[in-house]
Amino acid sequence: MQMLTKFESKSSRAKGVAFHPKRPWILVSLHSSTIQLWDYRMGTLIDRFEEHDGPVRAVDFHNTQPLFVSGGDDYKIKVWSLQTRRCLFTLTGHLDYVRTVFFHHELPWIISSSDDQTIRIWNWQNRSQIACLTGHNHYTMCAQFHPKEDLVVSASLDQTVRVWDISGLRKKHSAPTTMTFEDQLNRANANQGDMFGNTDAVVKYVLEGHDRGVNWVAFHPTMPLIISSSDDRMVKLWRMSETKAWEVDTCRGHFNNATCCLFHPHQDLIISVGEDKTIRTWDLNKRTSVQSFRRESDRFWVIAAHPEINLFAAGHDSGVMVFKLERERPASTIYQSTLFYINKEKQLKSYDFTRDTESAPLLSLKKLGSPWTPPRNLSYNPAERAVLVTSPADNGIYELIRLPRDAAGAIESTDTKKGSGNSAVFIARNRFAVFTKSSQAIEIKDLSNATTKTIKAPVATNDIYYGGTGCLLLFAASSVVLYDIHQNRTIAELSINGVKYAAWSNDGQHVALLGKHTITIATKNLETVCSLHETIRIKSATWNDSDVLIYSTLNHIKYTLLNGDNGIIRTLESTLYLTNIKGPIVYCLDRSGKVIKLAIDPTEFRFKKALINKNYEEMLRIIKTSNLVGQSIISYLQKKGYPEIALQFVQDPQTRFDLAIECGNLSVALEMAKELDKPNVWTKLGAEALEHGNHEIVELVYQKLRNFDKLSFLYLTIGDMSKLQRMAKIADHRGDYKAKFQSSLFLGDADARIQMLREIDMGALAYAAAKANGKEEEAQEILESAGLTEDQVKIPELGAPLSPLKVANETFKTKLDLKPMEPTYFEKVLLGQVEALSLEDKEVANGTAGESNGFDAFNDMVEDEFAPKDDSGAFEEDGGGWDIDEELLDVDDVEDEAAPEAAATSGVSEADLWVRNSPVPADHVAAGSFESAMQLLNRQAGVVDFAPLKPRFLEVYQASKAYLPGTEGMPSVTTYIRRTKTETAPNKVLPIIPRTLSRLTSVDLQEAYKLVRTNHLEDAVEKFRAILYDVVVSAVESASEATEAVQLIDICREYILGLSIELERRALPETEVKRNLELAAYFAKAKLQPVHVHNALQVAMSQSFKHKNYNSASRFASQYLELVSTGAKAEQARKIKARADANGTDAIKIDYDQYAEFDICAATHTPIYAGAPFVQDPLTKAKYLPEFKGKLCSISKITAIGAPASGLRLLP
Amino acid sequence: MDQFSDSGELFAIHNLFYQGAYKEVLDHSTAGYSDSAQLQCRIYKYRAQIALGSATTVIEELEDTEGQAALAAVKALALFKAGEVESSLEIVQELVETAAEDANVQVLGGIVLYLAGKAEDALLLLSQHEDNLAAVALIVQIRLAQNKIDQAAKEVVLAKRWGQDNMLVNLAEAWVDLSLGGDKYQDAFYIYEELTQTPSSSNARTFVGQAIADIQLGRYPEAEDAINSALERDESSSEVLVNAIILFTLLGRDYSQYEETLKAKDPNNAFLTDYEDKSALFDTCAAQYTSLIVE
Repeated sequence: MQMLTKFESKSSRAKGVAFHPKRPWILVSLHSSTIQLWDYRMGTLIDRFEEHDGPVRAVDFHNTQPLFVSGGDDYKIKVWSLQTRRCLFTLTGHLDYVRTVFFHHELPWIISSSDDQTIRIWNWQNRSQIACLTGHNHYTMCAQFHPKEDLVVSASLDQTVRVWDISGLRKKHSAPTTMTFEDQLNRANANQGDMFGNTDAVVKYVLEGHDRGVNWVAFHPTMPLIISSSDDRMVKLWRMSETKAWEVDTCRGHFNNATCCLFHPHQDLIISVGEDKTIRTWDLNKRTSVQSFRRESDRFWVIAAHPEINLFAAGHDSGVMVFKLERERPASTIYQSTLFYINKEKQLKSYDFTRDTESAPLLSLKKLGSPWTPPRNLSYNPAERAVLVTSPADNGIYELIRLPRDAAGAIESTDTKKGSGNSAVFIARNRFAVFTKSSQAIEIKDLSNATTKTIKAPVATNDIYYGGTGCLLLFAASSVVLYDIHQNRTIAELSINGVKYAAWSNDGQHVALLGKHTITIATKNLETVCSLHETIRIKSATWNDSDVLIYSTLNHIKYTLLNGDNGIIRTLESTLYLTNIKGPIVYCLDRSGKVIKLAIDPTEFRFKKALINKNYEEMLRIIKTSNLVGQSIISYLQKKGYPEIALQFVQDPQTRFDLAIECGNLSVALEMAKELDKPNVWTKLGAEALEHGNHEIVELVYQKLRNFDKLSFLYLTIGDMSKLQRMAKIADHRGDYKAKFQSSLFLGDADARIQMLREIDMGALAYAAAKANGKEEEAQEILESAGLTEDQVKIPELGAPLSPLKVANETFKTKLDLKPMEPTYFEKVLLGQVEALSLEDKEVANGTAGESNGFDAFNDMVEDEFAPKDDSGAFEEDGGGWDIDEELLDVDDVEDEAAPEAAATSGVSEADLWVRNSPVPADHVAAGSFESAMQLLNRQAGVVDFAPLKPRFLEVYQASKAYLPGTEGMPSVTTYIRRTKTETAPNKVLPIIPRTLSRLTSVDLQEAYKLVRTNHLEDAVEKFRAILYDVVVSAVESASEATEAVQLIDICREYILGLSIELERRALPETEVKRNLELAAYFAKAKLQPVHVHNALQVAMSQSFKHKNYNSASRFASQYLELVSTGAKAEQARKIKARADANGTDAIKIDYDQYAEFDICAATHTPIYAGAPFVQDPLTKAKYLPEFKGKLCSISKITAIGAPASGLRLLP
Repeated sequence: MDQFSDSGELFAIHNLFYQGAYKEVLDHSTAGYSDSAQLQCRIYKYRAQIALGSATTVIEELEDTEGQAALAAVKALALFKAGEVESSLEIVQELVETAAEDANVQVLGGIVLYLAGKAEDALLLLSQHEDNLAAVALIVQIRLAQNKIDQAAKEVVLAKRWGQDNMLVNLAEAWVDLSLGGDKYQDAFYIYEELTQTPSSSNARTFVGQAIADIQLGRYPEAEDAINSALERDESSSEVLVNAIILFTLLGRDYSQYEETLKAKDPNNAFLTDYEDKSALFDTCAAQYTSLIVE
């Protein structure tokens, strides 16, 4: 058991503490008259309440209402509202310090105990005292309601504990019900009342046993037990029945006053605190001390338990501490798609992510460590199917346990190996590392638990973690070290503070190092990729398949990308430990060790990920399929420099405008500006447009803004003189002389200028202007009007008159000739430009899909063809007798040959074993025993010409061995490749043969069919023959495969024969009509795939029809129509049939009897009618006229026709 | 403590050598090594040079090896590799008589004797070793070549008792496992996988091993990945190329590219000569049947 402190406050002496039932809050009442409200999760002080005078000894939260109650040395009980944070009212009546106050769990009651020796019960709804329990004859230190029954327990310095029955009080204060006479009588008689006639609460038991004043007393939440602590330093356990109560046992250990005690809400534990500065835990059943935790200098005054969560709060001399007594993180580990974890019952279970199933308990770990300490870590070894479990009990122990094959329930394992150490992890298939913190030693152990080597940790290490094969991650206080176990050296070191956990990415390239408040993502060589800080404690992390880290804090599931971009995915009700993520499902373990599946919305991080990877298709898909909006995404896009994408999400004109300006999309900006129509918007647009040189928009903006000066200047710069003139007129209308003056300057219109100056009585300037522009007449006129002569006017030396500005380039006429902005892929897509493209893609996809469908159909047909036939078994048996003889013969042969070689120095090589073990020619080929292989082929299948088989022989031989790199200087170590993968008996091993039967049928045969379909008949013949050769030198696994092989040979024969006939027909000269018709008819008779039969029938039909053999044509047409009944070709066949039937005669007599059974001689391509003599090829079973006996088969080209043969053996 | 063990100072260069990282062996700095270690380093460097095909350079450097049995053994190997079989064997015979207890003499002498076809002599010499893992590996290899798998397995079991985690023992175990088959294939795979995943021993040779284990387990796609990893690390190594050809044969795919590279790089490779031999054997065997062929 360990104490895990979650929160500590510094203050004056804390006398009372209370947990809020739902929120992470505690109330602390202090000796200094303050009540504090803390958020212990965030560590912040929420509020202070300071209305009591003097120490506040007691506080309590109401379990449902937003209320709390306090009692202090000012004799007052105050009830407060959590909403207004104000005191609602004060209950007065006690005549001395109030020691404890508690709410009733359901009734609107408060119970208080006081140094005035009374216990009082108050109704907080009508704010009145409803009972006063007297009887104690010293200070009552504590009084509590029973959690369920109408009982009260109290403790007093009079050394007694009293149990009170308050059922009378309840009856009195519950809603009035009709009472029968008997009820009334019973009630009157049952409660005899005490000496004061008080029948509301009567003492049920007085428990005596403590030798000093009793400080605290509490009921057990479910059992009839009472615990009390006293100044006699004892903690006593009492039990009560219906009629009596007695002392059960005493827990001795405190060496100063025991101030407070309670029952653990969920476990069989007692917890007590005392002025000896200790918190002690006791076994409820054995009343023995389990553990004690000592504080350096603070006496403990009070302890409280959270009603639901595994948390305790203890008040001491300098504040309060919130802690838990056990780690609640369930130990777990993942191997591939299986999670192994230990649940609250200390059972090891597994969870299969692919099937979403939970196993039955695999093991019970009840005996591991102490009963109060859950296992800490779990490590799994898939090769040995073993687990390592560590427990912090007894200063750290570990156990190595082999898992049972099947989940047979929670059995205790018998096969365990134990040792001491703080953490233990598998580092290789047959090694694990055990780390002992006290000695800083890392021991490497083998599976028999023997230490093979001991390493001293290179830095002061707190914990170790798996670091990739043969490596460990060492977590030190201020760094993480990657350590190579084999070479005893530090590979890399990264300085980060307080790393506690690590999570490797699925591909092992990245590791997330988790501290309390930081996550650092590093590469496998510990180079920092990014790091981030969380204010809330980080709990766990897991990686998805695309390198996104999903992590959980106390109250959130969040994500981070490798570049550090992060965000919140969802909030959590309770703390969860993430174990895995699959698509939108996160798998977590909760604190009770149950697997929980949580659906999350991965859109945001997928989108960001796609953005970073510039995967625009993915982004587009996300945009189209999900409602991805919100300020955060927009600002994210903006921040990342993708305003144009953000633009796609926004409807709000102002935001759209800003984004459009940012990405320079003037047309959108203009559109939005028109909508908004605000001066500052226009100004912004104008400035941006000016920078783009887009004078049209600038002009529009200036017009909108009535910015005449700028407009004039713009017209000047773009050389639009006519508009300038208009501007001058406008200035005139507006009576804006300055503008008019400017316009005249821009236009070089001296007359207008002089005119204007005169109009506004600027005679001097008008004169100077006239003079400067050589307008002597006007000048004279001005002088005259002013009544002056030329001599009286002194003007400075004049230069040459200003020539009017000339337009160099009529910019205004040209549309802005800027390079058009290339719309990003994204914009294009959104504008639908890529639509067409993707449509095309689809079509292509459809095309291939169609093709593959055809292909599938084809496959199906072939498979039908290959369905085992009923008579196959008989066939096998027939062949069997032959083969046994053969086998014996072979073995003898081989041994004879091998005998002289088998000297004492070497054993039998694997190749020799193969030869011995198999009568299959291919196995002999693989063994390199070509001679015996040929002998077998000759005897079994009559092969005589081996030359065509040479490539196949060498291929099979070549694939039979692999070469392992050996010691340098030595030849490689030869390893023989077997097809009998699981076989180790030397008399059963057999070599691998490349191109298995299934491959031949699924790949090679299909290729051959394709050649036929595409009318490459010669190539097709070659291909079929190649398949034939491959089958001849191959081996099969089962009888059904052997049948398949025979069928494959049949297919090859039929095709080679049929295609050879067709090839001969095609090669015929025009004149040979009869032979042509005969061959066409024979071809149609070959047993081909239905689609190929169509072709053959069509040929036969059209040839017959062409040569006026109507009778035959009609017959072939009928046959064709039987196979194909619809379509254009069927129509044609119908027409042919109709016309042929009308004639009903054959013009040329051919050698083809449709009614007779016959085969085709493979050599001459002539019929061999049933009953006629023939010879057969031993391998292909092709039939020949008798005169071909002994000749080379024209189908296989390797076998001798009619040669004696036992039949090809493919099954060993 | 054994100087090759994990904590010994020679551990690094020893591992580099046995992993086939010959260039790194040559570059390995020997500064700060003790005198005995210096000698061993020189030997590794010479052997690396021989492995890289510079046997003659080594012979020149080792003109005089009087009184230095280990260096003489290196010279013998260099001479053998350079084709001077007679003089090489002479040196080895002398060493066997005078310095058979030297670990290097055992290993190098064992190699020369085995290559010269005197496997039994080699085993006799090697059997005198005292906790010399290199010698064990060699014994295992020779035993396997003699098809005495049970004896090879016995050697490994013995060596594992004292040489536990050493890479050489693991490798030897993997060789034996691949010959034994069955469940042992998976064990061999684990050994090679461990080596390929450890950064310091992840190289072409170990990946070849992993690929072969995968082939034996019938996991061809994984084997292909491993072979490709090996090719990435060393695309011209004969060992890699040979096994790539074998794998692609099994997969029924085109391997001519590797075959050409191998023919260009290492025309006398045992794999190629074996292929030629078999081709010739085929022709002679087939010729016995030609009389039966009637067109």
